[in-house]
Amino acid sequence: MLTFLRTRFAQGTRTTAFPDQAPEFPERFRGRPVLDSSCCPEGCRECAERSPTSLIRIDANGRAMLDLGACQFSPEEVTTCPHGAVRYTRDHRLATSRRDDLVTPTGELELAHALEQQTRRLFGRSLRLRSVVAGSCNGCEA
Amino acid sequence: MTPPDHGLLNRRSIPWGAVPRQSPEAFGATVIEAVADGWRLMALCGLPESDSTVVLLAILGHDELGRLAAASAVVGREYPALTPQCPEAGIFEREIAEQCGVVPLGHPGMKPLRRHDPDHAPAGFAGRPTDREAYPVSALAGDDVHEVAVGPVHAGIIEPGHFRFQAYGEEVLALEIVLGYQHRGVERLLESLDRDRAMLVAEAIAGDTVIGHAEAFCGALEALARSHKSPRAQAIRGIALELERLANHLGDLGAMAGDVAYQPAAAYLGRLRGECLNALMTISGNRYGRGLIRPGGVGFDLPEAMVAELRDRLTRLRQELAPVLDLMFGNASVQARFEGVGVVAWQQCRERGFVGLVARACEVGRDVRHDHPYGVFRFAHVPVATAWAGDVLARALVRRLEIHRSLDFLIEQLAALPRGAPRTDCGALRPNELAVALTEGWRGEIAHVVVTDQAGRVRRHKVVDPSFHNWQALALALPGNQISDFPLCNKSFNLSYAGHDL
Repeated sequence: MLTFLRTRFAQGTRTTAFPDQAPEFPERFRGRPVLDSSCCPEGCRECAERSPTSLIRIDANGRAMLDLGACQFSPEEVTTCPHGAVRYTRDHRLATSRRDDLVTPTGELELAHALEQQTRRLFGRSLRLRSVVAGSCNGCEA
Repeated sequence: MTPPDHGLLNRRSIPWGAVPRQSPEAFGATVIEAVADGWRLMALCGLPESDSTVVLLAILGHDELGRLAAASAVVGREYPALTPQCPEAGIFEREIAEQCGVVPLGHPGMKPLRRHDPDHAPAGFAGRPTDREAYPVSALAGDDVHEVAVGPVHAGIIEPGHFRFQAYGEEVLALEIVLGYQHRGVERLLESLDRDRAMLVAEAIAGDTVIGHAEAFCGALEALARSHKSPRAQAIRGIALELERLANHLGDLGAMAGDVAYQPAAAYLGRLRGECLNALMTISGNRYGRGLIRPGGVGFDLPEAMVAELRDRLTRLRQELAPVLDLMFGNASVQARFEGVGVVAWQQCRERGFVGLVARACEVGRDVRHDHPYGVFRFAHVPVATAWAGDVLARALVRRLEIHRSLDFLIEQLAALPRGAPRTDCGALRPNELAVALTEGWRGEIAHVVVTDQAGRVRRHKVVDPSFHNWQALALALPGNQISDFPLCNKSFNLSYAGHDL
């Protein structure tokens, strides 16, 4: 018991200040990607052709779009742009309410928002987020 | 009998034409005799050869001699199974039947493995599609025997798998494990995608073994391209691999403590696991190390300031960890719950070819870093950690020893990181060659076997995750135990569903 108490004291309390403070990520952390289309030369499609995923797509009007739902956050997805138009930020917030909201021309997202008061009052206590694994690599769950 | 030596070694390729081509009967005899003589079946797979034939390729390894050997045979729709005389081949032959549509005649336990349509069958083998629901589970008969089915959807956020217990009261008489729910067609993807995309797939074979699989994937390609990595790149790869081992071993010990309701160790070890994942994130920008291992070296160098910071963090972790492990392993109730539960016998391990910490926990000292050394492990020797009882406690003890040895390795490497370019160009693959890349991932031996065609494209990319071998060990360890000990047993193996299902 004494050993346990001693260990308990030595280990201390180790929680982060989130959500009161924004979490800090290391310099190399790859968060939400952004696209600055002012860097794109007219008619350039290099990113869409060379990227290992479909993060960057060219829409019907020839405009580059980011699909964050297809992003694997690998270094190669942004280095395929030779003009430096795409880069990762250190923003970790990526949740949206609808799949379509993940497709944007700039990488700016309309984030999922809290439930409105009425819905929350009616259903709040029976709502649970449930994750079911089906065909993943177990990275998100581990 | 010792198979002939063609110069095949871990990450040294040989011409595809140098692989002996035998009749199916002689091929079977070669494998069976080699296994009886102390060799181990590391991989057995099929490659479509023509419209109506398949080449069977066996990769054999001898751990004491540090040697690898290959054998092959051309077969049609069927061939005599190796399994009756070589139980190690059992699961591989089930896989070949499913992937290539070739029937191993006389196989004693022929059942589907992942329940998917053949994806490596010759064009002329058009058969009927696989019935995904059909899976004959062996049931026991008797008045008081009952059956308990668990999964594939579980209460926790874990991967899908179905467990069928035949029980007498609380005692388990038999356990059958049905997997395949996570099948994504990984091998086909690795064979058909370009290198950048295949690299991302390799990192996602098993989400908790990103470094291990990425390293074996790159090792095979580099062997086929004769690419030489700098000592610095090799050291950084070794550091990442041991950080991954550390994170997972700490997490597993914590989860095992949680399963026997010893919360203090569960909480402290969970936090310390996070420290290791954060160290990987500092290096690569991702908690699992994605983006770090790339063909020809590593995607990120370690600047001097980062090296010093990592060394400080790991030294502190070593100090904080020791009292927690003492607390957990010194606790009588933890010991009592771990001891004698879920025993894998030495004999079973030799017979079925189990790998990694499951093998080392029953005194079978298999460790690729020691037996088939590569990269930094040719210069920095990590002692092999073993235990003898083969139970949950032994698997915990092996993890504990390996945690200490990985920490020693990491701190030593970070004190004297060699110079060199982090990454060199990997180049094109040589045509018509065979390469085997083995890595000792945290679960055990990861094998990537790659054969190129005459244009230097990947013709076959076989992936063997340690879980592929070791799921059988869990099924063998359960009989005689209480059903209520299953979660603890399962956690002491902590096998990958995604890695098995591919």
